[in-house]
Amino acid sequence: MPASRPIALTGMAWVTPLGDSLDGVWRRLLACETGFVEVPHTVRLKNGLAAPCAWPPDGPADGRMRALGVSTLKRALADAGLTEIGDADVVIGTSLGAFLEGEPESAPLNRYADTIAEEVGAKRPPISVSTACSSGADAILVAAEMIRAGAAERVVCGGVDVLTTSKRLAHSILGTMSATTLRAFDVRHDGTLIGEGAGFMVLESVEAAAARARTPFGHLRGVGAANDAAGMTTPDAAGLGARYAMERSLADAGVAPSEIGVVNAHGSGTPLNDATEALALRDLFGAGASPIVFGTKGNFGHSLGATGAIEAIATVLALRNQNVPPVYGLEQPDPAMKLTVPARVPMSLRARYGMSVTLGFGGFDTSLLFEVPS
Amino acid sequence: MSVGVLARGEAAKCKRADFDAAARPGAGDRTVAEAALAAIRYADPAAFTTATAVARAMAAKRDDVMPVRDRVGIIAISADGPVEAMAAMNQAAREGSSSPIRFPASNAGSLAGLSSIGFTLRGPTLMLTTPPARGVPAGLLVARAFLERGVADYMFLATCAVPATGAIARCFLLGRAGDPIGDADLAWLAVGSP
Repeated sequence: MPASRPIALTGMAWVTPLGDSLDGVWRRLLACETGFVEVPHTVRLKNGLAAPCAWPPDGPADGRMRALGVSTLKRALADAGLTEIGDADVVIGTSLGAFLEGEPESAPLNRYADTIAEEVGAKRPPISVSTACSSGADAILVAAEMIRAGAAERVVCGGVDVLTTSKRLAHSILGTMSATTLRAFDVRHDGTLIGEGAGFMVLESVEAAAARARTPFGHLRGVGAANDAAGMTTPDAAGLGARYAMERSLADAGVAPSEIGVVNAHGSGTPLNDATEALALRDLFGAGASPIVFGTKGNFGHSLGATGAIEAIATVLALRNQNVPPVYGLEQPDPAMKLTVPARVPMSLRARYGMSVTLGFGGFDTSLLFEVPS
Repeated sequence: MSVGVLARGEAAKCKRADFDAAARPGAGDRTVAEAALAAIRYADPAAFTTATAVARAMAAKRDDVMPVRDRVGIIAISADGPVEAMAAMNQAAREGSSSPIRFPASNAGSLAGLSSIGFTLRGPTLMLTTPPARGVPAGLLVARAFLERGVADYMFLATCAVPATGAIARCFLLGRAGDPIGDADLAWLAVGSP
């Protein structure tokens, strides 16, 4: 299968529990900082820790989600050197947490995305995606396909989600919430903790970026998706879905596994996720010169529908800086995982290709493959 | 390369039993992933209705589709989603409680995920929460790309609307052959759209 056309990545922005500047947050990731704090709650939770963003201020979940989306999307446009959205299309992913909180919603599920797109002045209504924790990554995948098909020249795409009591409560009861802290790939990993945030990228056809003399950060070279087909919350124990998604992104890019230098794993910190993901990575890359695997959920919390976009940005920053942040909470890497994971200190990188992998409830597996020339 | 419609499926107001009946190829046969489905104690009626439409679209091509199910994907489109499960989760949250059974079912993606689990389909899977009138062209674009690039051998493109009378779902089975897709086909698929 011939490689697909590369897509130019010309702008990106995020709002995270560690701040909202690309370089500032990146420095805090390298310093292994975390955004977890005790977040007040009125219900019985397994763990009061969560990772809120400093902005927007407290308020109804739907208003905070809209504000996060609008602000981050506008900053991604500015980062791409665009003063307005112009003819760009919009694709937004979210796990719709705000729908499960507050007054019961009768509005359609696309309402948030439509409102965000209207507020940034989009000329056409957006495409909205909800594939649980893969939503942000799948929004980027859909945008890439729109550009490749010639249906769009430029797309602003990503994910947004806010912290809600409903989701914290649900993960408490489901047993996926950590009783301690989020320690992906550590022998003591015992679950995930919830965060919030937004991440958006500006993707363009290579021709559109060149026409406005914009040098891209890098290129989205491949996308891949699959389904675990195992259970609504349970990943496939053999890791087949995750492996297929990664293999498909490699084939799409025409890149060999040996060329991948870094993988931003889903790394949710649940023992089941970590084991499944590690197995998929080992099966794909073998036991030899495997890529550096890292994860940012210990820093940002699990931002659900936003996490795929936020982690895609972190992957691009790792490639740009040729440095991989240590995994927060990782003190004793689980020897059974057999992965190269930075603990406590960053690990230097010499590679131009990296992948960002997300796994979502409902079996959604997504892999995005980026190239950033060093 | 042309991508066309190989088969269609339609369903309304379905429950687990409807999906199970549509998914069984013959009397006494078992669904492919009966054990996996048995582990799902609850799914929203919109998810079962979508999965039943998928099963009915598959019925005529089952012998072609099932042997390559690692390369069969689903794109579901609904701006309504799992209405019943989301309302139950919302109500539970207001009462300070939650449910490990309703929570997974309140995931909008369950409309696509349930079919993947039921038939063990490991191809690319997406859930667009865009209204079908504009979601169908976008879903078709992505499905076409997966088929043309050879990422998938078959793609289900399904829509679901949930009016007050209950869920309605429609589905195309798409492949690298079949009937060309015209405006009337897209209008049929955009269920619930004005």
